[in-house]
Amino acid sequence: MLGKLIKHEFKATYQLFLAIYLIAFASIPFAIFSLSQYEGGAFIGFFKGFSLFAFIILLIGVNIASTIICIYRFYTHVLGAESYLTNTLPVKPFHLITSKALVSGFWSLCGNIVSIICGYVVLKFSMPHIINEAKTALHELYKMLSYDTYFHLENGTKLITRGSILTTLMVLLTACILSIILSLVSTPVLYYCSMVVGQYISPKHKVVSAIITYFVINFAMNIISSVASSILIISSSFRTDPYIYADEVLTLVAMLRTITYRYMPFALVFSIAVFIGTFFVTNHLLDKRLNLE
Amino acid sequence: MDFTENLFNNNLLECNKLTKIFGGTTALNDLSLTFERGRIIGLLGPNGSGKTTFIKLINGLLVPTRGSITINGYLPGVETKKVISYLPDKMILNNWMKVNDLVSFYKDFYEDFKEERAYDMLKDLDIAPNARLKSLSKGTKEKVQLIMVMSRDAELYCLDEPIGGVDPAARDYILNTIIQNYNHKSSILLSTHLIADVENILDDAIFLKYGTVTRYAPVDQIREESGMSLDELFREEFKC
Repeated sequence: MLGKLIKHEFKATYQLFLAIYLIAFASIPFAIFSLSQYEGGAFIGFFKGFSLFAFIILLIGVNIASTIICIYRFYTHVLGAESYLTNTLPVKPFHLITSKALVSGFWSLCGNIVSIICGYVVLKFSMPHIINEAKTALHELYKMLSYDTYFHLENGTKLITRGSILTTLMVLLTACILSIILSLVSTPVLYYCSMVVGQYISPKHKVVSAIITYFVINFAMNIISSVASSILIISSSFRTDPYIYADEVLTLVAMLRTITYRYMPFALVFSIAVFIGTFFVTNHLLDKRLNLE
Repeated sequence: MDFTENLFNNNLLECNKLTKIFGGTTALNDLSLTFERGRIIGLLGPNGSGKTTFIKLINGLLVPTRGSITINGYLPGVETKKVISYLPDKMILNNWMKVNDLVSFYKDFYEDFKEERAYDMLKDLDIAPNARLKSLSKGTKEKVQLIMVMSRDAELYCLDEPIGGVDPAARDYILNTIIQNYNHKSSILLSTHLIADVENILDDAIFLKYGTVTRYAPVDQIREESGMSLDELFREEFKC
Protein backbone atom coordinates (compact mmCIF):
# COMPACT_ATOMS: atom_id res chain seq x y z
CA MET A 1 0.00 0.00 0.00
CA LEU A 2 2.92 2.35 0.66
CA GLY A 3 3.89 2.17 -3.01
CA LYS A 4 0.34 3.01 -4.09
CA LEU A 5 0.17 5.94 -1.68
CA ILE A 6 3.47 7.29 -2.99
CA LYS A 7 2.30 6.84 -6.59
CA HIS A 8 -0.91 8.81 -5.99
CA GLU A 9 0.93 11.48 -4.00
CA PHE A 10 3.29 12.00 -6.94
CA LYS A 11 0.41 12.00 -9.38
CA ALA A 12 -1.31 14.71 -7.39
CA THR A 13 1.73 16.97 -7.13
CA TYR A 14 4.04 16.52 -10.09
CA GLN A 15 2.24 18.88 -12.50
CA LEU A 16 2.36 21.76 -10.05
CA PHE A 17 6.05 21.30 -9.22
CA LEU A 18 7.08 20.83 -12.86
CA ALA A 19 5.26 24.08 -13.71
CA ILE A 20 7.11 25.91 -10.89
CA TYR A 21 10.49 24.52 -12.04
CA LEU A 22 9.80 25.39 -15.68
CA ILE A 23 8.96 28.97 -14.70
CA ALA A 24 12.21 29.15 -12.70
CA PHE A 25 14.25 27.89 -15.68
CA ALA A 26 12.40 30.19 -18.07
CA SER A 27 13.36 33.18 -15.92
CA ILE A 28 17.11 32.50 -16.28
CA PRO A 29 17.61 34.55 -19.50
CA PHE A 30 15.86 37.54 -17.90
CA ALA A 31 18.08 37.27 -14.81
CA ILE A 32 21.22 37.06 -17.01
CA PHE A 33 20.05 40.11 -18.93
CA SER A 34 19.36 42.01 -15.71
CA LEU A 35 22.95 41.45 -14.57
CA SER A 36 24.48 42.31 -17.95
CA GLN A 37 26.51 45.46 -18.66
CA TYR A 38 23.99 46.65 -21.23
CA GLU A 39 22.59 50.03 -20.33
CA GLY A 40 19.44 51.30 -21.96
CA GLY A 41 16.97 53.94 -20.98
CA ALA A 42 14.85 54.23 -17.86
CA PHE A 43 12.50 51.50 -19.04
CA ILE A 44 15.37 49.02 -19.58
CA GLY A 45 16.71 49.93 -16.14
CA PHE A 46 13.32 49.30 -14.58
CA PHE A 47 12.95 46.03 -16.51
CA LYS A 48 16.39 44.84 -15.38
CA GLY A 49 15.62 45.62 -11.75
CA PHE A 50 12.24 43.98 -11.95
CA SER A 51 13.66 40.85 -13.66
CA LEU A 52 16.31 40.43 -10.99
CA PHE A 53 13.79 40.92 -8.21
CA ALA A 54 11.39 38.43 -9.82
CA PHE A 55 14.20 35.90 -10.25
CA ILE A 56 15.20 36.11 -6.58
CA ILE A 57 11.57 35.80 -5.48
CA LEU A 58 11.18 32.79 -7.81
CA LEU A 59 14.22 31.05 -6.35
CA ILE A 60 12.86 31.60 -2.84
CA GLY A 61 9.44 30.44 -4.07
CA VAL A 62 10.88 27.25 -5.59
CA ASN A 63 12.32 26.40 -2.19
CA ILE A 64 9.33 27.23 -0.04
CA ALA A 65 6.75 25.78 -2.48
CA SER A 66 7.41 22.26 -1.28
CA THR A 67 6.89 23.33 2.35
CA ILE A 68 3.65 25.15 1.60
CA ILE A 69 2.29 22.32 -0.55
CA CYS A 70 3.41 19.74 2.02
CA ILE A 71 1.46 21.52 4.77
CA TYR A 72 -1.57 22.18 2.57
CA ARG A 73 -1.83 18.61 1.31
CA PHE A 74 -1.52 17.03 4.74
CA TYR A 75 -4.06 19.44 6.20
CA THR A 76 -6.69 18.94 3.49
CA HIS A 77 -6.12 15.20 3.06
CA VAL A 78 -5.69 14.03 6.61
CA LEU A 79 -7.52 16.61 8.69
CA GLY A 80 -9.57 18.72 6.28
CA ALA A 81 -12.22 18.31 3.60
CA GLU A 82 -10.74 15.22 1.94
CA SER A 83 -9.83 13.49 5.19
CA TYR A 84 -12.94 11.30 5.10
CA LEU A 85 -11.60 9.58 2.01
CA THR A 86 -7.99 9.40 3.18
CA ASN A 87 -8.84 8.09 6.64
CA THR A 88 -11.18 5.40 5.33
CA LEU A 89 -8.60 3.93 2.97
CA PRO A 90 -7.45 0.50 4.17
CA VAL A 91 -3.94 1.75 4.93
CA LYS A 92 -2.02 2.16 8.16
CA PRO A 93 -1.38 5.73 9.35
CA PHE A 94 2.31 4.77 9.37
CA HIS A 95 2.19 4.32 5.59
CA LEU A 96 0.20 7.49 5.11
CA ILE A 97 2.71 9.63 7.02
CA THR A 98 5.70 7.93 5.36
CA SER A 99 4.34 8.41 1.83
CA LYS A 100 3.58 12.09 2.34
CA ALA A 101 6.92 12.77 4.07
CA LEU A 102 8.94 10.96 1.37
CA VAL A 103 7.23 12.74 -1.51
CA SER A 104 7.51 16.09 0.25
CA GLY A 105 11.21 15.42 0.92
CA PHE A 106 11.75 14.53 -2.74
CA TRP A 107 10.21 17.80 -3.93
CA SER A 108 12.24 19.78 -1.37
CA LEU A 109 15.40 18.18 -2.73
CA CYS A 110 14.33 18.95 -6.31
CA GLY A 111 13.57 22.55 -5.29
CA ASN A 112 17.06 22.94 -3.83
CA ILE A 113 18.70 21.42 -6.92
CA VAL A 114 16.67 23.63 -9.28
CA SER A 115 17.64 26.73 -7.27
CA ILE A 116 21.32 25.80 -7.34
CA ILE A 117 21.24 25.11 -11.10
CA CYS A 118 19.44 28.39 -11.80
CA GLY A 119 21.83 30.36 -9.59
CA TYR A 120 24.89 28.68 -11.12
CA VAL A 121 23.78 29.27 -14.72
CA VAL A 122 23.01 32.94 -14.05
CA LEU A 123 26.40 33.49 -12.36
CA LYS A 124 28.23 31.53 -15.04
CA PHE A 125 26.89 33.74 -17.82
CA SER A 126 26.65 37.11 -16.12
CA MET A 127 29.45 37.05 -13.54
CA PRO A 128 31.86 34.27 -14.54
CA HIS A 129 34.64 35.79 -12.38
CA ILE A 130 32.73 34.82 -9.20
CA ILE A 131 32.67 31.17 -10.32
CA ASN A 132 36.37 31.33 -11.20
CA GLU A 133 37.24 32.95 -7.87
CA ALA A 134 35.31 30.26 -6.00
CA LYS A 135 37.12 27.55 -7.97
CA THR A 136 40.49 29.16 -7.23
CA ALA A 137 39.66 29.47 -3.53
CA LEU A 138 38.73 25.79 -3.38
CA HIS A 139 41.92 24.87 -5.22
CA GLU A 140 43.99 26.97 -2.80
CA LEU A 141 42.31 25.36 0.16
CA TYR A 142 43.05 21.92 -1.23
CA LYS A 143 46.69 22.89 -1.81
CA MET A 144 46.95 24.25 1.71
CA LEU A 145 45.64 20.99 3.08
CA SER A 146 48.05 19.01 0.92
CA TYR A 147 51.04 19.84 3.10
CA ASP A 148 51.77 18.74 6.63
CA THR A 149 51.99 21.73 8.93
CA TYR A 150 54.15 21.98 12.05
CA PHE A 151 53.43 24.23 14.94
CA HIS A 152 56.11 24.99 17.46
CA LEU A 153 54.70 25.70 20.87
CA GLU A 154 56.15 26.18 24.33
CA ASN A 155 55.23 22.69 25.41
CA GLY A 156 56.77 21.06 22.37
CA THR A 157 55.80 20.66 18.74
CA LYS A 158 52.26 20.04 17.64
CA LEU A 159 51.81 18.58 14.19
CA ILE A 160 48.70 18.96 12.12
CA THR A 161 48.82 16.57 9.22
CA ARG A 162 47.01 16.88 5.93
CA GLY A 163 45.40 13.52 6.49
CA SER A 164 43.85 14.38 9.83
CA ILE A 165 42.31 17.65 8.58
CA LEU A 166 41.04 16.04 5.39
CA THR A 167 39.53 13.20 7.40
CA THR A 168 37.86 15.70 9.72
CA LEU A 169 36.49 17.63 6.76
CA MET A 170 35.21 14.46 5.10
CA VAL A 171 33.50 13.35 8.31
CA LEU A 172 31.98 16.82 8.67
CA LEU A 173 30.79 16.78 5.06
CA THR A 174 29.27 13.32 5.49
CA ALA A 175 27.53 14.41 8.69
CA CYS A 176 26.18 17.52 6.93
CA ILE A 177 24.86 15.42 4.02
CA LEU A 178 23.22 12.98 6.44
CA SER A 179 21.73 15.90 8.32
CA ILE A 180 20.31 17.40 5.11
CA ILE A 181 18.84 14.04 4.01
CA LEU A 182 17.28 13.57 7.43
CA SER A 183 15.86 17.09 7.48
CA LEU A 184 14.19 16.49 4.08
CA VAL A 185 11.83 13.98 5.72
CA SER A 186 11.93 15.09 9.36
CA THR A 187 10.83 18.67 8.60
CA PRO A 188 7.52 17.58 7.00
CA VAL A 189 6.92 15.14 9.86
CA LEU A 190 7.38 18.01 12.33
CA TYR A 191 4.68 19.97 10.47
CA TYR A 192 2.41 16.89 10.42
CA CYS A 193 2.94 16.37 14.14
CA SER A 194 2.06 20.01 14.89
CA MET A 195 -1.11 19.77 12.82
CA VAL A 196 -2.25 16.47 14.34
CA VAL A 197 -1.49 17.60 17.90
CA GLY A 198 -3.28 20.90 17.13
CA GLN A 199 -6.32 18.96 15.90
CA TYR A 200 -6.23 16.73 18.98
CA ILE A 201 -5.98 19.61 21.45
CA SER A 202 -8.63 21.80 19.85
CA PRO A 203 -10.62 20.39 16.91
CA LYS A 204 -12.59 23.62 16.56
CA HIS A 205 -9.48 25.85 16.36
CA LYS A 206 -7.11 23.37 14.79
CA VAL A 207 -5.16 25.86 12.65
CA VAL A 208 -4.33 28.22 15.53
CA SER A 209 -3.67 25.25 17.77
CA ALA A 210 -1.33 23.69 15.18
CA ILE A 211 0.65 26.94 14.79
CA ILE A 212 1.05 27.26 18.57
CA THR A 213 2.09 23.59 18.79
CA TYR A 214 4.69 24.12 16.05
CA PHE A 215 6.24 27.09 17.85
CA VAL A 216 6.21 25.29 21.20
CA ILE A 217 8.00 22.24 19.72
CA ASN A 218 10.50 24.48 17.92
CA PHE A 219 11.13 26.54 21.04
CA ALA A 220 11.76 23.39 23.10
CA MET A 221 14.08 22.03 20.40
CA ASN A 222 16.05 25.28 20.23
CA ILE A 223 16.45 25.43 24.01
CA ILE A 224 17.74 21.85 24.20
CA SER A 225 19.99 22.32 21.19
CA SER A 226 21.43 25.65 22.45
CA VAL A 227 22.11 24.36 25.95
CA ALA A 228 23.72 21.16 24.69
CA SER A 229 25.91 22.92 22.10
CA SER A 230 27.01 25.54 24.66
CA ILE A 231 28.08 22.78 27.06
CA LEU A 232 29.94 20.98 24.27
CA ILE A 233 31.78 24.10 23.10
CA ILE A 234 32.60 25.40 26.60
CA SER A 235 34.06 22.05 27.62
CA SER A 236 36.13 21.76 24.43
CA SER A 237 39.91 21.72 24.43
CA PHE A 238 40.37 24.78 22.22
CA ARG A 239 38.73 26.84 24.94
CA THR A 240 40.55 25.26 27.86
CA ASP A 241 43.99 24.34 26.50
CA PRO A 242 46.10 27.51 26.81
CA TYR A 243 48.55 26.36 24.10
CA ILE A 244 45.85 25.74 21.56
CA TYR A 245 43.91 28.84 22.56
CA ALA A 246 47.03 30.92 21.95
CA ASP A 247 47.32 29.99 18.29
CA GLU A 248 44.72 31.03 15.69
CA VAL A 249 45.19 28.11 13.29
CA LEU A 250 45.25 25.56 16.07
CA THR A 251 42.10 27.11 17.55
CA LEU A 252 40.41 26.89 14.16
CA VAL A 253 41.40 23.26 13.71
CA ALA A 254 40.37 22.38 17.25
CA MET A 255 37.05 24.13 16.69
CA LEU A 256 36.57 22.16 13.47
CA ARG A 257 37.26 18.94 15.35
CA THR A 258 34.87 19.91 18.15
CA ILE A 259 32.11 20.64 15.66
CA THR A 260 32.82 17.45 13.71
CA TYR A 261 33.33 14.94 16.50
CA ARG A 262 31.29 16.39 19.34
CA TYR A 263 28.62 18.74 18.04
CA MET A 264 27.63 16.93 14.80
CA PRO A 265 27.06 13.52 16.44
CA PHE A 266 24.88 15.26 19.03
CA ALA A 267 23.02 17.21 16.31
CA LEU A 268 22.42 14.04 14.30
CA VAL A 269 21.26 11.99 17.28
CA PHE A 270 19.07 14.87 18.42
CA SER A 271 17.51 15.23 14.92
CA ILE A 272 16.89 11.47 14.75
CA ALA A 273 15.29 11.55 18.22
CA VAL A 274 13.05 14.48 17.24
CA PHE A 275 12.13 12.72 13.98
CA ILE A 276 11.24 9.45 15.76
CA GLY A 277 9.36 11.31 18.49
CA THR A 278 7.27 13.45 16.12
CA PHE A 279 6.62 10.47 13.84
CA PHE A 280 5.50 8.34 16.78
CA VAL A 281 3.16 11.05 18.14
CA THR A 282 1.63 11.68 14.69
CA ASN A 283 1.15 7.96 14.07
CA HIS A 284 -0.31 7.33 17.52
CA LEU A 285 -2.81 10.19 17.31
CA LEU A 286 -3.95 9.26 13.79
CA ASP A 287 -4.21 5.59 14.72
CA LYS A 288 -5.76 5.76 18.18
CA ARG A 289 -7.08 9.25 18.80
CA LEU A 290 -8.51 10.46 15.51
CA ASN A 291 -11.53 12.69 15.98
CA LEU A 292 -12.80 14.30 12.79
CA GLU A 293 -15.68 16.27 14.16
CA MET B 1 -12.74 -13.71 17.18
CA ASP B 2 -11.12 -15.90 14.51
CA PHE B 3 -12.05 -16.27 10.85
CA THR B 4 -14.25 -19.40 11.20
CA GLU B 5 -16.18 -17.79 14.00
CA ASN B 6 -16.78 -14.75 11.76
CA LEU B 7 -17.96 -16.95 8.93
CA PHE B 8 -20.74 -18.53 10.97
CA ASN B 9 -21.59 -15.43 12.94
CA ASN B 10 -24.36 -13.55 11.17
CA ASN B 11 -23.70 -10.37 13.14
CA LEU B 12 -21.84 -7.94 10.96
CA LEU B 13 -21.64 -5.13 13.46
CA GLU B 14 -21.88 -5.05 17.23
CA CYS B 15 -22.01 -2.01 19.50
CA ASN B 16 -21.69 -2.33 23.22
CA LYS B 17 -22.63 0.70 25.34
CA LEU B 18 -21.19 2.95 22.67
CA THR B 19 -20.91 6.52 23.91
CA LYS B 20 -19.45 9.63 22.30
CA ILE B 21 -19.15 12.93 24.10
CA PHE B 22 -17.94 16.14 22.41
CA GLY B 23 -16.87 18.67 25.00
CA GLY B 24 -19.87 18.61 27.32
CA THR B 25 -22.35 17.37 24.70
CA THR B 26 -23.33 13.72 24.57
CA ALA B 27 -23.78 12.86 20.90
CA LEU B 28 -24.35 9.12 21.45
CA ASN B 29 -25.36 7.58 24.73
CA ASP B 30 -24.92 3.90 25.67
CA LEU B 31 -25.78 2.57 22.21
CA SER B 32 -25.96 -1.22 22.20
CA LEU B 33 -27.13 -2.92 19.01
CA THR B 34 -26.17 -5.46 16.35
CA PHE B 35 -26.55 -5.52 12.58
CA GLU B 36 -27.18 -8.78 10.79
CA ARG B 37 -25.98 -9.49 7.28
CA GLY B 38 -28.30 -9.04 4.31
CA ARG B 39 -30.35 -6.15 5.69
CA ILE B 40 -31.05 -2.60 4.55
CA ILE B 41 -31.23 -0.54 7.70
CA GLY B 42 -32.57 3.00 7.89
CA LEU B 43 -30.88 5.25 10.42
CA LEU B 44 -33.52 7.85 11.12
CA GLY B 45 -33.60 10.84 13.39
CA PRO B 46 -33.76 14.63 13.39
CA ASN B 47 -30.72 16.87 13.02
CA GLY B 48 -28.30 16.46 15.91
CA SER B 49 -29.66 13.06 16.93
CA GLY B 50 -26.25 11.38 16.46
CA LYS B 51 -26.66 9.69 13.05
CA THR B 52 -23.47 11.05 11.50
CA THR B 53 -21.54 10.50 14.75
CA PHE B 54 -22.59 6.83 14.73
CA ILE B 55 -21.54 6.41 11.09
CA LYS B 56 -18.20 8.11 11.76
CA LEU B 57 -17.58 5.79 14.72
CA ILE B 58 -18.23 2.78 12.48
CA ASN B 59 -15.69 4.14 9.99
CA GLY B 60 -13.02 4.90 12.56
CA LEU B 61 -13.19 8.66 11.99
CA LEU B 62 -14.07 9.16 15.64
CA VAL B 63 -12.92 7.30 18.73
CA PRO B 64 -15.60 6.27 21.25
CA THR B 65 -15.54 8.01 24.62
CA ARG B 66 -16.82 4.77 26.19
CA GLY B 67 -17.96 1.38 25.00
CA SER B 68 -16.92 -0.47 21.88
CA ILE B 69 -17.83 -1.12 18.29
CA THR B 70 -16.73 -4.08 16.20
CA ILE B 71 -17.24 -4.96 12.55
CA ASN B 72 -16.70 -8.63 11.68
CA GLY B 73 -15.21 -8.91 15.15
CA TYR B 74 -12.57 -6.25 14.50
CA LEU B 75 -12.25 -2.83 16.08
CA PRO B 76 -12.28 -0.04 13.44
CA GLY B 77 -8.97 -0.18 11.56
CA VAL B 78 -7.41 -1.45 8.36
CA GLU B 79 -9.37 -4.75 8.45
CA THR B 80 -12.74 -3.02 8.83
CA LYS B 81 -11.94 -0.39 6.22
CA LYS B 82 -11.44 -3.17 3.71
CA VAL B 83 -15.06 -4.26 4.09
CA ILE B 84 -16.89 -0.97 4.69
CA SER B 85 -17.87 1.33 1.88
CA TYR B 86 -18.60 4.79 3.21
CA LEU B 87 -20.44 7.69 1.67
CA PRO B 88 -20.10 10.82 3.85
CA ASP B 89 -22.62 13.62 3.94
CA LYS B 90 -20.15 16.04 2.34
CA MET B 91 -17.89 16.27 -0.71
CA ILE B 92 -14.63 14.45 -0.09
CA LEU B 93 -13.15 14.17 -3.55
CA ASN B 94 -9.98 15.77 -4.90
CA ASN B 95 -11.15 18.45 -7.29
CA TRP B 96 -8.05 18.28 -9.48
CA MET B 97 -8.87 14.69 -10.43
CA LYS B 98 -10.69 13.47 -13.50
CA VAL B 99 -13.48 10.97 -12.98
CA ASN B 100 -11.36 8.15 -14.44
CA ASP B 101 -8.48 9.12 -12.11
CA LEU B 102 -10.88 8.55 -9.27
CA VAL B 103 -11.85 5.15 -10.66
CA SER B 104 -8.20 4.09 -10.79
CA PHE B 105 -7.67 5.50 -7.28
CA TYR B 106 -10.49 3.35 -5.87
CA LYS B 107 -9.34 0.36 -7.91
CA ASP B 108 -5.82 0.69 -6.46
CA PHE B 109 -6.89 0.83 -2.84
CA TYR B 110 -9.97 -1.39 -2.64
CA GLU B 111 -9.66 -5.02 -3.69
CA ASP B 112 -13.45 -5.30 -3.91
CA PHE B 113 -13.82 -2.36 -6.33
CA LYS B 114 -15.52 -3.25 -9.63
CA GLU B 115 -14.22 -0.96 -12.35
CA GLU B 116 -16.71 -2.18 -14.95
CA ARG B 117 -19.64 -1.51 -12.63
CA ALA B 118 -18.36 2.03 -12.03
CA TYR B 119 -18.09 2.80 -15.76
CA ASP B 120 -21.55 1.30 -16.39
CA MET B 121 -23.08 3.54 -13.74
CA LEU B 122 -21.22 6.59 -15.07
CA LYS B 123 -22.63 5.83 -18.52
CA ASP B 124 -26.14 5.37 -17.14
CA LEU B 125 -25.96 8.74 -15.41
CA ASP B 126 -24.39 10.39 -18.46
CA ILE B 127 -21.17 11.41 -16.71
CA ALA B 128 -18.08 11.67 -18.93
CA PRO B 129 -15.19 9.62 -17.49
CA ASN B 130 -12.62 12.17 -18.62
CA ALA B 131 -14.41 15.13 -17.03
CA ARG B 132 -12.58 16.99 -14.30
CA LEU B 133 -14.37 16.91 -10.97
CA LYS B 134 -14.06 20.66 -10.53
CA SER B 135 -16.03 21.17 -13.75
CA LEU B 136 -18.99 19.11 -12.49
CA SER B 137 -22.02 20.46 -10.66
CA LYS B 138 -22.51 19.73 -6.97
CA GLY B 139 -25.24 17.17 -7.71
CA THR B 140 -23.12 15.38 -10.33
CA LYS B 141 -20.17 15.22 -7.95
CA GLU B 142 -22.46 13.62 -5.38
CA LYS B 143 -23.49 11.05 -7.98
CA VAL B 144 -19.83 10.31 -8.78
CA GLN B 145 -19.11 9.89 -5.09
CA LEU B 146 -22.02 7.48 -4.71
CA ILE B 147 -20.97 5.52 -7.82
CA MET B 148 -17.51 4.97 -6.32
CA VAL B 149 -19.02 3.75 -3.07
CA MET B 150 -21.57 1.46 -4.70
CA SER B 151 -19.03 0.00 -7.14
CA ARG B 152 -17.46 -1.91 -4.28
CA ASP B 153 -18.51 -5.39 -3.20
CA ALA B 154 -18.39 -4.32 0.41
CA GLU B 155 -19.88 -6.10 3.40
CA LEU B 156 -21.25 -2.95 4.98
CA TYR B 157 -22.29 0.19 3.09
CA CYS B 158 -22.63 3.27 5.26
CA LEU B 159 -24.53 5.89 3.30
CA ASP B 160 -24.94 9.23 5.03
CA GLU B 161 -27.65 11.20 3.22
CA PRO B 162 -27.06 9.57 -0.19
CA ILE B 163 -30.06 11.12 -1.93
CA GLY B 164 -30.26 14.50 -0.25
CA GLY B 165 -28.62 16.56 -2.96
CA VAL B 166 -29.74 14.86 -6.18
CA ASP B 167 -32.77 15.35 -8.40
CA PRO B 168 -35.77 12.95 -8.08
CA ALA B 169 -34.94 11.07 -11.30
CA ALA B 170 -31.39 10.36 -10.14
CA ARG B 171 -32.79 9.51 -6.71
CA ASP B 172 -34.75 6.58 -8.21
CA TYR B 173 -31.64 5.38 -10.03
CA ILE B 174 -29.60 5.57 -6.83
CA LEU B 175 -32.19 3.67 -4.82
CA ASN B 176 -32.33 0.99 -7.52
CA THR B 177 -28.54 0.77 -7.41
CA ILE B 178 -28.67 0.31 -3.65
CA ILE B 179 -31.25 -2.48 -4.00
CA GLN B 180 -29.16 -4.20 -6.70
CA ASN B 181 -26.24 -4.39 -4.27
CA TYR B 182 -28.38 -6.01 -1.65
CA ASN B 183 -27.27 -9.59 -1.02
CA HIS B 184 -27.09 -12.07 1.81
CA LYS B 185 -23.48 -11.13 2.65
CA SER B 186 -23.76 -7.38 2.88
CA SER B 187 -25.85 -4.86 4.75
CA ILE B 188 -26.62 -1.26 4.01
CA LEU B 189 -26.92 1.41 6.67
CA LEU B 190 -28.72 4.37 5.22
CA SER B 191 -29.13 7.68 7.00
CA THR B 192 -31.66 10.11 5.53
CA HIS B 193 -34.37 12.66 6.18
CA LEU B 194 -36.24 11.66 3.02
CA ILE B 195 -38.02 8.76 4.68
CA ALA B 196 -40.91 8.53 2.23
CA ASP B 197 -38.43 7.93 -0.61
CA VAL B 198 -36.60 5.09 1.11
CA GLU B 199 -39.33 3.52 3.20
CA ASN B 200 -40.10 0.82 0.67
CA ILE B 201 -36.55 -0.46 0.43
CA LEU B 202 -35.80 -0.64 4.16
CA ASP B 203 -35.82 -3.92 6.09
CA ASP B 204 -35.14 -2.39 9.49
CA ALA B 205 -35.29 1.09 10.98
CA ILE B 206 -33.38 2.68 13.82
CA PHE B 207 -34.90 5.78 15.40
CA LEU B 208 -32.31 7.95 17.11
CA LYS B 209 -33.22 10.77 19.49
CA TYR B 210 -30.63 12.79 21.42
CA GLY B 211 -28.07 10.04 20.88
CA THR B 212 -30.31 7.26 22.18
CA VAL B 213 -32.04 4.51 20.21
CA THR B 214 -35.79 4.85 20.71
CA ARG B 215 -36.73 2.12 18.22
CA TYR B 216 -34.87 -0.61 16.35
CA ALA B 217 -37.09 -3.13 14.64
CA PRO B 218 -38.10 -4.47 11.22
CA VAL B 219 -40.03 -1.85 9.27
CA ASP B 220 -43.06 -4.15 8.81
CA GLN B 221 -43.26 -4.68 12.55
CA ILE B 222 -43.05 -0.92 13.21
CA ARG B 223 -45.82 -0.27 10.70
CA GLU B 224 -47.98 -3.02 12.19
CA GLU B 225 -47.50 -1.90 15.79
CA SER B 226 -47.98 1.81 15.14
CA GLY B 227 -50.61 1.60 12.42
CA MET B 228 -48.69 4.28 10.52
CA SER B 229 -46.18 4.45 7.72
CA LEU B 230 -42.58 5.00 8.76
CA ASP B 231 -42.73 8.56 7.42
CA GLU B 232 -45.91 9.33 9.42
CA LEU B 233 -44.46 7.78 12.55
CA PHE B 234 -41.25 9.78 12.18
CA ARG B 235 -43.21 13.03 11.87
CA GLU B 236 -45.28 12.04 14.90
CA GLU B 237 -42.36 11.03 17.12
CA PHE B 238 -40.05 13.90 16.22
CA LYS B 239 -42.68 16.63 16.05
CA CYS B 240 -41.14 20.03 16.90
